[in-house]
Amino acid sequence: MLKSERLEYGAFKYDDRIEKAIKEIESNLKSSYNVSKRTIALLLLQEDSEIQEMVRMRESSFSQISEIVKKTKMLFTEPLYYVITVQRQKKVDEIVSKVVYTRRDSKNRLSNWLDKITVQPLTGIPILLLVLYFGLYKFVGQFGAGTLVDFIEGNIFDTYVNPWVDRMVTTYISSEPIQELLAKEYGIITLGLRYALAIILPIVGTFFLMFSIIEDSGYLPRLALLIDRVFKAIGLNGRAVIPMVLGFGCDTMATLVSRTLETRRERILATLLLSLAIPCSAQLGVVLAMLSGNTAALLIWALCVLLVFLLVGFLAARLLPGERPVFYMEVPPLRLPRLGNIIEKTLSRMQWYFLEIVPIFIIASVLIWIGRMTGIFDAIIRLAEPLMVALGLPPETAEAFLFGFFRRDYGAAGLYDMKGSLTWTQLTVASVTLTLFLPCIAQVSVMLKERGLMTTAAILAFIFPFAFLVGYVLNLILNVTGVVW
Amino acid sequence: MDGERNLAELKVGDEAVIGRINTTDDKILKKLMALGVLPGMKLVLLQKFPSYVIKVGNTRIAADDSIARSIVVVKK
Repeated sequence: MLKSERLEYGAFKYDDRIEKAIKEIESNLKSSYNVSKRTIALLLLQEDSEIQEMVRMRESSFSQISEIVKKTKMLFTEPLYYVITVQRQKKVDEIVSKVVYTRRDSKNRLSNWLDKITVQPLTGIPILLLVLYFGLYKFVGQFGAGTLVDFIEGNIFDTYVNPWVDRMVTTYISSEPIQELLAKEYGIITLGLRYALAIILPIVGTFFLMFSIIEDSGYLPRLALLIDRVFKAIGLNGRAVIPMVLGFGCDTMATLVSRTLETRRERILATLLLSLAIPCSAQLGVVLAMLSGNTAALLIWALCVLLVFLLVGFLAARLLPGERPVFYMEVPPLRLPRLGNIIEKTLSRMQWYFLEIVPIFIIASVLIWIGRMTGIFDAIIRLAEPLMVALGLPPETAEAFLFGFFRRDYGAAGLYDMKGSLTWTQLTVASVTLTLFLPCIAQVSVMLKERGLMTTAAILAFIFPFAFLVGYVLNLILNVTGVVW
Repeated sequence: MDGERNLAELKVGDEAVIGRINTTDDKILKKLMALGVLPGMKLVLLQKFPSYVIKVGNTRIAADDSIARSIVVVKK
């Protein structure tokens, strides 16, 4: 590069008004900084709050500096950060246009075509449904929650682990309550660990794998832009599709991720909808297995939950004050995901799940044990029985609902055990009510941490009666319309 | 300025040069700047429904109606 060229490119100057302000600020900076004084001056002009705070602490002349910034601001109609960026960008364009040229390339036709059909509603929505059908229903629902669960639970736990644990416990421990704590029907190992390893692990594992593939392919922003208009109606923007889809894997993790939403209002709405109307993969797996013999029942369940999702979102968005959400997002090109990245992401999510969630399974087992030993459970179940009868359900389902309080999937799994003795109407009503019913303990603890006591209490106080109200109304409708199997 | 209009008034496939960002919301302005939506940049409008999709440089950006109306362009 010639010397004259280096000067031309290297010593970039903003316009005179900005340069004058930079000089004046520089002369007021006495302390030494990790970066040049010119950089500090530019950041001060752009009102970077971190740098402002730092300079306020270090410089006695901070008020003079503020005066210079204020005076310079008056010279422009637009904000200074905008003016500065625009001037810098102009220089960048100037340089780039001299050294870069774009070649029209035809080999990217396929990727251009895919880019296009995934974002246009006419083709994008069928593609979305295909992704949901194969990714969620076929892979997670049938393979994860069906094939894998049957194998791990039936072939490993029911055949080897549980009988062995029961034998060991009855041989070596004489106290019956302790036997029940560890083994038997509700023990830490035979119930807690069995649920965690045999039911939840394969479902959550397959979901996280699928989610990582979709995430790395660059599909999620396309989903966001397709669904933005629908989400606006429920007070969210398309961006919220990421925590919402993640909720189908684990609502607890999704509630954690909802902190990436921009406004407090959106975070509260997302938290409410996640705890009310987004079933997690474990719950989804059990509900799908329970209702899979009957397409109408499955459709009614899905329609009810979707309707509640939209209706409650719509009403909550009207009631909750705050600014309207805006949507903008970079749409990366679709890419073939890298296997290594996918495995790493899936494993790190599963590791999180193990460390955060599995201990809660064990605690839940212990709580169930305490509840049963002290007779508290029997008392609650007796209290809840009339509620079940009001929903048209046999009183014994109260137990499943109570367990559902500890883990939503415990409840669904408890119901699954009763499948043979329930009618399709009862199964449908129970599935809908349990799906809407209180979130699991892990999710409540994250809600408390992220949203605070008041918001969490308000959400739970709404969900509890509302879930039963929906179940009650659904039972009435199913009976009146004669859609009883 | 002559020929100045906002993004929502363009047709799909139109090319234009970004004139300015017309918004009172500081956050929107900063985000658009971070995405490279700056005066003088060329853009192509790829799609208007269900969301706007524009191409600025080599970046595709999706935006809603309110954002699209705040991007003022000069048609080529």
